[in-house]
Amino acid sequence: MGNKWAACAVVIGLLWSAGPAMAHHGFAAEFDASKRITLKGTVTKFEWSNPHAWFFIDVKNADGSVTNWGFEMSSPNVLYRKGWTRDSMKVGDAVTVEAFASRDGSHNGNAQSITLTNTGQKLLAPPDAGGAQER
Amino acid sequence: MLAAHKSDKAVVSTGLAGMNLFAVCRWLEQTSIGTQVRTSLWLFPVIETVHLFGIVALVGSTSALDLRLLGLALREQSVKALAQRLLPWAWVGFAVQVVTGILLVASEATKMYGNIGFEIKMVLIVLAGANALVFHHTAYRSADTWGETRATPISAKLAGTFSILLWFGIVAAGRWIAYT
Repeated sequence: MGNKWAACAVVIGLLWSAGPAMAHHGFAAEFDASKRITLKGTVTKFEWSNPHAWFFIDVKNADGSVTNWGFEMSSPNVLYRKGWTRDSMKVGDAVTVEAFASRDGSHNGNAQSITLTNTGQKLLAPPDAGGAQER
Repeated sequence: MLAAHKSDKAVVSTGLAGMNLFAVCRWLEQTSIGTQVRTSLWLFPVIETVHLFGIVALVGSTSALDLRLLGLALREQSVKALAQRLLPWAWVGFAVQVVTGILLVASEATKMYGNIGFEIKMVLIVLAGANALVFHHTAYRSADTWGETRATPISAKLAGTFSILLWFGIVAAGRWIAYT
């Protein structure tokens, strides 16, 4: 183990090593379950991504300006078992989102229910009691 | 972590070198492997789980050796004999960590960019490697003379202490990645 190759391997390996041990998020650390918001907007991006899916909507404010809001959801695996696919939401879809707002006041939330304006289809059922999604 | 908004900020606040690194992250994330891991139903959780097995093999075996260096465990075994039995497992674990770690990072590289937990973890890994290297090229060379006895020199105790603290820190920082 004390030879130069091992030393080399250590250095190279260490430089490249390791990633997130577990890339999940604490709900309570980022989102406030007592701050419920409801927003209507148009989908600008849908990220079917681990460890959590995200989507973004443009929301028109009262003064006419537009704010892009981001919403976190469960992992693709959990969404899939709730009937989602990576095509469940498309850019341009008009949606109404109920979410828990972020604690830091940024334009982010944890989506609790999503309704497609055109069809009235509910894409995400309200969660069980307690509201917080899986950690 | 609050996805895109955070990444945008990181780009604005860094210089040319940062931009290049961010560009590398973006490229990595868009590779076929990065995309597969990010969007797959199963790959990400499975790789995360294997990453945990890797921690067990790596930190479990190094910690056992560290405790022996400190004289706190396995004292009936010589340091050298213990090292020869445990370090192969440490290397197996390390290889698993490198492979699974790169896959996990590739899937969300732009989120790791500027993630303080990830940065601390990488720095600690380099320090842990340096600590192991120094130990192997200094104190461990004379392990034949003190390894059979229960007592270990202060240099070996220091290396064992640093090693345990660094690896525990690496695990903690890795866990913290998800909360920054």
